Amino acid sequence: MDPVHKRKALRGKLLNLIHAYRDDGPMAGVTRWKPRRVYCTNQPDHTDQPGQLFVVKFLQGQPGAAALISEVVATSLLRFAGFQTLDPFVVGVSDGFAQSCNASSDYPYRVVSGLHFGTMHRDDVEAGPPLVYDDLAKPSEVVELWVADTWLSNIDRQVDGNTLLKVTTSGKFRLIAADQSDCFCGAVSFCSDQMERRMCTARTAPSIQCLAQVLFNHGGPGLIRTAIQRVRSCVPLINNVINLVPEEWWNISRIDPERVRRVLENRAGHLEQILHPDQWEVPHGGTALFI
Amino acid sequence: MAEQRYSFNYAVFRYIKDAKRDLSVPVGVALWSQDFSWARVRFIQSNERVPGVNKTTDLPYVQLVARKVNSWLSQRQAPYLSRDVTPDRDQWWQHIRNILVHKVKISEARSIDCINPEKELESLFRDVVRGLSDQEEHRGRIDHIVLKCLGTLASQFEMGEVHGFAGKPVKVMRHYLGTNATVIVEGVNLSGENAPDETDALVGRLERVRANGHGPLVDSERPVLAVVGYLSSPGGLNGEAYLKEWIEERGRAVALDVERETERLRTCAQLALDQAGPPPALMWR
Repeated sequence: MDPVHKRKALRGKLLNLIHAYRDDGPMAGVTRWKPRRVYCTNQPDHTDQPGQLFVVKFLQGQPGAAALISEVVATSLLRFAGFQTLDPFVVGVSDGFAQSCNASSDYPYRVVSGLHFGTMHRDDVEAGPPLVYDDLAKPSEVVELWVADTWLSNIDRQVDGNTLLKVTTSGKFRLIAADQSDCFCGAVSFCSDQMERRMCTARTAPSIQCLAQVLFNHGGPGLIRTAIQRVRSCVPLINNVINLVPEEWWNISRIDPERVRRVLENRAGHLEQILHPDQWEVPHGGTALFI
Repeated sequence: MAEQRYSFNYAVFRYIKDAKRDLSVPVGVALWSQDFSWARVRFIQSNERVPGVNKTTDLPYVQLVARKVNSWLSQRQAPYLSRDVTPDRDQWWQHIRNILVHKVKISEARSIDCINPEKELESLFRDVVRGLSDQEEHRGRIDHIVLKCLGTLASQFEMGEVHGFAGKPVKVMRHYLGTNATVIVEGVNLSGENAPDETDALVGRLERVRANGHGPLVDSERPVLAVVGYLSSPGGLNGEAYLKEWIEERGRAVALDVERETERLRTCAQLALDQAGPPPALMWR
């Protein structure tokens, strides 16, 4: 099987293709990529209409394509590492649907026919980040996600809506990693010549609040090292994940997939030096925090 | 001189029960005015019950959003919004509408003629979220206190309407239909701002019930025994004694303080029940 067909077959297994059927209005009109709520079907002729509701990030130029690659690569790696994310899909947009969108003044950008990125819409969540430590059903998730974001050089996890919260029976919330479009030091940097250099020098990722409290309360250095191991277990899967990305996104973004593989492997090998777990080695950490 | 009025707007926070079917429950209100430089929100709290909001599965989401919105208000800053836009402006709330897109959403801005914002926020909340007007809320509270005073006797009374003038129904707090008479139990807050109006309404109701034998197509009159529990000022009747006297004189009722004369109120209710006799159905057996 030639490499292109191999990629398509793999994508079919891990990243399903669905088809945009009916627009249902803006999802987050204030955010950068302005995703839309779109009913999508499994069949290109929509015989299974109305399908299901998805949140679709439409491809918008070179940085937009970089953002979609970032979504597919980072979301898939997070899922392999056992994090809760939204279910990712590749969304096919027909000429007719694109024309209809472009005829509407409701779209602040031009929609092109082809492949876009979508996640299944969830109506059982609220936008994060959590405000206080007591909101967290599983506080260690904050540290684990911070370590994974550091590996992926995610620059905006702390922003409202980039995590989602799902209530548990205790009334506290589990974290869902909801937006991975600004990994690789951000979409603009990702599709620039500076990407490799920036990824090599990037420091720790910003975290949602309560990181220090979670680290002190849950055995900081050990927790970080465990999370690093978890991240490293995904390194052998990097190639598979890169193969999930539609060919046209690589072309539009002008990003070399080989460079993406290289920077991820390189950062995974240096996570101890980047995260310095030892610096969290504080006797009586819980009280030290308040001193 | 006419008092100065400011322009206010409000919006309603709704908890989305079922997104597909567009089913939602109001869970809070926001009230703001740019002229008055004022903006506040009021959400349901953990000790308040709102039909349709489950304490385990729904309330945590509402409380999370309440804390977020309050934090944005106190910092005068919201995600993705320039610092120039302050919470007392419509633009701020339109932006919040674009951010709250999950379990809790907020309506568009609506107009309101608000005179006292602090009071208005609470009234709006009661009206929109709990579905009660001020009067209904007071009435509900007094009803609860009077029933507590009656103790086990309360089960003998029913809610609803009795026949009044011209055979038309009159809604009363509680009633008992005996063979010899009808017993009415009512309640009124004599310490409240609207005490005179509420007293007049109460006396009017009692008068209409007493006139049950009058009017066209009505030929028999049933005696009415009325017991009224009232709430007085914290130190006892203080300038509102005339209202109590009015209830006794014109309403021909026994009026007793629900906090200081609990025992007497229960005794009077028992006496009235004895005098009214068993329900007609029991007589026939």
